[in-house]
Amino acid sequence: MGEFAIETYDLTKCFGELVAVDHINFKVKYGEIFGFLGPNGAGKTTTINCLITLLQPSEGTAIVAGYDIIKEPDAVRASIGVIPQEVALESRLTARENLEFHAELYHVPRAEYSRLIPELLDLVQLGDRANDIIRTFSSGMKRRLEIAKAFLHQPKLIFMDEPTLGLDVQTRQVIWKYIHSLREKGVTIFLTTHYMEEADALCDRIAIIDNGRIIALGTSSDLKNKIGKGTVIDIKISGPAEAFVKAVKDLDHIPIMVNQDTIHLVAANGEQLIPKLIHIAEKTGVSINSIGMYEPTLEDVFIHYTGRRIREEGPEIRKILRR
Amino acid sequence: MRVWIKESPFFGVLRVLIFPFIWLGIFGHAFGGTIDHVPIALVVEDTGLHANEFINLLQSGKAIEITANTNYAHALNLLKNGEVTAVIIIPPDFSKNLDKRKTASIQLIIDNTVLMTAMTITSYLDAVQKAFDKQVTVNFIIQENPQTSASFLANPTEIHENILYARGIRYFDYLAPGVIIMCLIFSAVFSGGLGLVMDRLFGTLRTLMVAPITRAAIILGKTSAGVTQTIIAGFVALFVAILMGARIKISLLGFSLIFLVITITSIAFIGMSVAFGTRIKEFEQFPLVMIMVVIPTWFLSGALYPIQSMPSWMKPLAAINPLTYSVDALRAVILRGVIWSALVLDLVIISGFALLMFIIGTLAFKRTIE
Repeated sequence: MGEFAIETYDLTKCFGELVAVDHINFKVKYGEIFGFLGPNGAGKTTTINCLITLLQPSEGTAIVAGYDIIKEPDAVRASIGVIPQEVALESRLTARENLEFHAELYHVPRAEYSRLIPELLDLVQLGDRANDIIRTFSSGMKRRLEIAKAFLHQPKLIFMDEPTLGLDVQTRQVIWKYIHSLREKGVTIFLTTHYMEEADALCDRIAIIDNGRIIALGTSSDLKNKIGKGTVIDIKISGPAEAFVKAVKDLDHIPIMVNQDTIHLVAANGEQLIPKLIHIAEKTGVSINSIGMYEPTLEDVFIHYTGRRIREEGPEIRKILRR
Repeated sequence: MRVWIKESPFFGVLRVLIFPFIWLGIFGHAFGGTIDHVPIALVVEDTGLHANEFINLLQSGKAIEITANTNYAHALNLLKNGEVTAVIIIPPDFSKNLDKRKTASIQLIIDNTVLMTAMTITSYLDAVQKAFDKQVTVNFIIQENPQTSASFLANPTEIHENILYARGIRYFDYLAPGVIIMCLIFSAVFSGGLGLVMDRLFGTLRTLMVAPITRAAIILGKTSAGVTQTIIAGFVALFVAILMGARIKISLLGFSLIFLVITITSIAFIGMSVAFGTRIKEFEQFPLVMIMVVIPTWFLSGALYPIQSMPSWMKPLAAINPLTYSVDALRAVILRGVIWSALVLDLVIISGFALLMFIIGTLAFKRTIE
């Protein structure tokens, strides 16, 4: 067993003209939780599908759990666990039957899985629902069962594609807890997400992916430090924004982003900047509705590299630090 | 191009146009046609003049085709194996009796399993007999004074009919095996490949594809699940047929053979359905394609009406149709009983088709999601 659970070498996947994954290179160490963070359509699922041998790369290759995904797909499949984006349980079977079926698929001996199944069901808090039909389960319960399923054949490496997609905050936190407990058992986890707080809460290292390319890679704090030590300031204004924005840009050569009436900027010395901003506002005749100041998030990292938000469609829940 | 095919109403229109052509083409010709060229074996034990005259008359129409001119034992064997539908025997004293002005007899041994075909032979033979009687009578009147007895002139020949298989069969009995096969294949085509299509739709197929199992195992799994359902469907149909009064030769060996035919046919058509399921990605397309395949297959199998009644362009289609052999085998077991020599060819062909479909299904099933 080498040092790395996953190594990719110029992994590329094209669908006709579209380059979904573009010469990606990264390495995942054994025992870490590695996250792929990026907006929808960035190439996260395509990358996972290549790594779990469901897609043949157009170019390049990857070594997963020590095996080449092109030359030894069977060995790769035998060494990994996969939690798909969509729940893939047999809805007419019970929780226990689903796990038994899965164990048989992975050639887990009966004696072993009959011992493991109650344990795993307890771990995901479904012990009392073991004999209930899946159709009666909530989506959070199904997702938890998927996690139990992936762990059944005790793989050293588990792939999770958007493990908490569409789940409510409470369920999401429960699942995060399970993912952490898997890591404590020494399992390497590769996950994709477009929730930046999920990447922040779970991952040891994060690769930010956009348009099929990795644009930044490192620990959460590494990535945040890369955009400059400092704070993020969001100002909501009303009035002639153009003049205000121009004046702010002239002020300190700070990279800023304007989103409707909100101006977003990262500054090393935020505390001293605020009085200046108020001054500019007075001069240009805009009124400031609110000023928010907080530590940078991965979202800000993404904005820094792409000029866009990860999710353009709605606001993220942010932990705003009031000083 | 692909977008155009998907968006264009052209293919919808084509489908709507093609269906009536196929249906009418097949339904319009698959039954109700004239039955001709029915294979029979001829045993001529008389070398006399009258025998020759009779044979010439027998060959003048196209209802029957003498496929073997042989001895009694061989002819009977051909009948037993289902290679001919009837044996016509002209006994040694045929010409001699006629010359002595005694009634001469012709023997007909017939297999009634394919009712309509058997009826064609008997009515054709009737017509031949009438023509021959008339000819003989006229000849005799020319040859000599009409002093011969009136009884002889009324009946120069007589036919001794001997029904070897399926005595007293009705159309209902003929149809029953065909309908059992119909229930079977309709269950088969929807329980095999549809599972695969549904699994792809619900994402469970991905789980199977990333599991460390072979492609053949996935195809075999889908096939055996479907076969279980289909065998049950076949047996339910069999018992309903029995309840409704269909004639079935009952024996333990017979039932085992019915089971065998039903099982192999299930495997074959589940295999076909799974093979389609590996490539049809759209859920709505699957039933459509299966209906387009399975209905003509059934109508071309001789399940409803004998293949001999089909027009000549359709007969080769029936001959290459694997279902023809299933229907033939099931009908043979149910109506004629266990005659191995008549079943072997059928069983080999259906098994071969089953194996072929399994191989195609396994090869067509790609391990990727592209």
